[in-house]
Amino acid sequence: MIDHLFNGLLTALSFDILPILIFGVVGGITLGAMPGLTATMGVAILLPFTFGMDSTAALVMLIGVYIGGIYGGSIAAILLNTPGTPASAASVLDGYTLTKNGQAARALSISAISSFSGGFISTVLLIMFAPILANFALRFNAPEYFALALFGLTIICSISGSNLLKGLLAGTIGLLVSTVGLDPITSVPRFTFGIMDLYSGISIIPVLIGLFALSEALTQLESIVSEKKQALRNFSLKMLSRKDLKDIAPTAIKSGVLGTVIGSVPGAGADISSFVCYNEAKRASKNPEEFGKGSIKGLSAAEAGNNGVTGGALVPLLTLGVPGDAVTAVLLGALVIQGLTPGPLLFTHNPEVVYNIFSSMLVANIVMLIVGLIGIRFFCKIIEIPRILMIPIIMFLSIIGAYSINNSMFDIGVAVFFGLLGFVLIKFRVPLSPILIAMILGPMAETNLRKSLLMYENSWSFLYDRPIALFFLVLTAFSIYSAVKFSKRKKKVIV
Amino acid sequence: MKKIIKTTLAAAALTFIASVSAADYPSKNIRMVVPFSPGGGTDSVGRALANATKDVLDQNIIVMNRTGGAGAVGMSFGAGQRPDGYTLTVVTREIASLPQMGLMQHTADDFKLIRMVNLDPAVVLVSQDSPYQNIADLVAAAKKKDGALKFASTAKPNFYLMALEKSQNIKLNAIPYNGASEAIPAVLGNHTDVTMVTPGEAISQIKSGQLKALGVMSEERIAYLPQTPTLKEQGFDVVTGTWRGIGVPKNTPDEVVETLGAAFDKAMASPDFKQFMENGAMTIHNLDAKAFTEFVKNDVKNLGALIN
Amino acid sequence: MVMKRTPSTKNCAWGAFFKKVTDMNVKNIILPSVIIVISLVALYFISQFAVPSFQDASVGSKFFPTAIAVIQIIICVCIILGEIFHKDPQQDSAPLFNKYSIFGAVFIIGYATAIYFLGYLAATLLAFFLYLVFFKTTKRYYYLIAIVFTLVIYYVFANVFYVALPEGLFAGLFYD
Repeated sequence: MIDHLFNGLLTALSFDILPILIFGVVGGITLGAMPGLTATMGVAILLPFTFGMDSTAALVMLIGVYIGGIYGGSIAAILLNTPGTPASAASVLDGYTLTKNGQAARALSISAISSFSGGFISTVLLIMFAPILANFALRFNAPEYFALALFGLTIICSISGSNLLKGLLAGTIGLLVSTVGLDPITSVPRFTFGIMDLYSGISIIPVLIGLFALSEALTQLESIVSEKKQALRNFSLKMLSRKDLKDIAPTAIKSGVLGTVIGSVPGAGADISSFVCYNEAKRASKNPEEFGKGSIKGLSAAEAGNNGVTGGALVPLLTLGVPGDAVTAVLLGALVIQGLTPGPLLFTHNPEVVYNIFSSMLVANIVMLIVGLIGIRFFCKIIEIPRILMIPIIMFLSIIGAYSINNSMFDIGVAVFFGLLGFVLIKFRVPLSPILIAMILGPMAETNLRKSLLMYENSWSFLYDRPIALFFLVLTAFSIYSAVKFSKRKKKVIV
Repeated sequence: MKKIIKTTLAAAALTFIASVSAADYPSKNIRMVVPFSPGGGTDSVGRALANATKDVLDQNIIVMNRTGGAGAVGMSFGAGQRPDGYTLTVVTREIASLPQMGLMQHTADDFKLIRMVNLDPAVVLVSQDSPYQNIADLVAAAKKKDGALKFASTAKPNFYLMALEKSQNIKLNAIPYNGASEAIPAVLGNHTDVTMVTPGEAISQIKSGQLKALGVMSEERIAYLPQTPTLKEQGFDVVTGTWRGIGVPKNTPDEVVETLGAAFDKAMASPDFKQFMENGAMTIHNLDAKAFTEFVKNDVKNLGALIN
Repeated sequence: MVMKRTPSTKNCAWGAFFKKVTDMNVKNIILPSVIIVISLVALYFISQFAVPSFQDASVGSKFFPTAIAVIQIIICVCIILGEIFHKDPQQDSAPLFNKYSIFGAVFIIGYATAIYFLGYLAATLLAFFLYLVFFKTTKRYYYLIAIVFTLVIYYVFANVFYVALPEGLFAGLFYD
């Protein structure tokens, strides 16, 4: 194993491969930073170009795009409050607050280091424990997914803070929106009103773009009184301090491990992971009230959490031959095109391919860290662009982004609607992230509850006779209890 | 100013007409609508075919994923485009089933079907430690357990299963999963008893022995699974599977359809595309426009019998 | 919680309640009230859902939407009651929209409509110029940036990302 890994590293660092890897990572970061363009799309777009490439180069490039893409989404989230993908929505909570406080460089450096930590830990765990993780992942089915989704939904309680009722209201709005479309179990149309575009439900990315990017653009526009009066936002180029690094290290490592486990379960991806890690970091924190107000630990947890998925998601791909998320589905296609059979046989028949993948992931994470840290200076220039120019640019990019995810005019309408809705909700002090969390997890909860009932022939015994499901249900109860306690404590402080 | 606008419009109108005329087709990039998301089987076949055809036509073919409604959104979108041959649509078996279930307004008649690309049978799969060794075991168990045998379904409703259920007068507990990538782990983890997917979707698990193939739902054994007997051989006359092809909006000029048909013939015969399909354990099944249209008509009838 | 702006409370309990209702910021109960109405409409539509033709379990397609709508109504009622009895001290009374945010909303809707009819290139150039004119920008290079931005994005999407941007309904007339 060691010599395979060593050979793999030599390949990844060779003159033929390293430039391709760097190209992939940089391309992925650029793509991920655009609203609406995701790591999945990047990998899918590049796939046909790999037809003619040799298999190592092809896989290395795609992996670079994957790892860079998930990190890139956070740059726009932190600097402009416009998360490029649902996976970086949790980074907005603290990252953008830090930017508003003039600490963009600090936030970006924390993001780069945490993403690296998450991605690197995840890859190491993948190399060492892939078969164990795979066996664990196989024990997940409908009841476990249902319990996991319920646990995830309790995040809404914890990120709503003192405004519990309004957070819950936002959650129910998201849940209701997520029921639009054909019922996932019986194909009965729900709230479709005969409109074809609604049959598949309302896509998350246009909603995300509307809620965060467009509503933020509107809010900023409102505060512009005249071009002359607007001052340049002051910010320092100071990166994170040694103390910061010490502060975030435990969170970043824990979130990386947690992200790997979540990633290795098929069907749970970077979006769920970043919110779950954020929630866990907040629960474990001694001062949870800092979260959402520019906590570096919160940012670090979200960032390590979403990149932590990268290694985990390859577990089912490499060990079972089934993709763990949308990106690995495309990677599976790439392996197949190269004439390789993903799954357990890959380890015995083509170990060099497996270890090339492993080592290029390790190297890609390092490249991402270096590019991310060097890039901070350039990324920060974005804030220096006069707001009067930046606002329309964000609006245009948002709308094009909403369009390009599914080439759909309807999605533009969805983004505009949620942009206006988000703007109004901000005015009423309703938090927006719960809408997104509910849209991601609501369908997962509903589908899997109903699948479980089908499996158990309408008996509810799956709630207690499956240990993993029971574990998550207990966590759920605990999470609700502590959120309610926390919101009560906070009210007392105000009064 | 007015004059400029007028001349521009006139010129534009002329180019517009010119672009419709079939003589110089294709004179610009072509779009290919794929009604499923990137990374799936339909998407990868579409992209591989686009890649192979672009050299033949000497025009770029841009794949456009338009997902939703189990393919209904993308196919309806493709059917409603300008019939100039610059928008191709990957049509899948859903075009035959969805309209009959009232889930899609357009039907196969809204397309001029150009070529069928692949036709793959379904394979009946159980996990390696399953007690069932052949289809007879499975059918007997299904009868005995009376609807309690758990079937991991890749779609709702599942026509592979319904074909077997109808012919044997049995009933399984179909649990709807989101495609093969969820249904296969459900069988691997012994959460469900059996599933049916196409060979390409499960070839790696079959080869590694994690999944046992009980039978292929085709007329004859297939090249990818030479050891696996068909259902017919085992005495169960059930043949089903899935297919994909290419269509254009129904008013597309015949010359354009012929140009495209000839291009697809070349593309499907190209070594690259053949290799791609072989790697993915998919079977190229090139039917020309007439045969494909006939095939789809029959399939609509077959599915109609199951649905109603 | 102390109600600062309540001068003297009348002896009668109903009087106090009435006082509280009139005193609070009406803005704060608009949103929950609107959402209650939407939930009720949703409940009506849920009752109209078709009966599935295939399979069903004890928890059917109506269960989740119904539960969500009911919970949503309960939450909204709680928020309204909370507003009446514990006025949120943080509430400001700034107007919902100002001139610029109304412009922004109209601008976004207008751009989305324009891109449908005119396609990406024409709509974006037009919208960007209108925007700069609205803010009475005199800097020439801003207009230049608008042109460069529009073209660069067009090029990058078409040739690097392989995403065909909307051509608009009149595509044949302009871009062929």
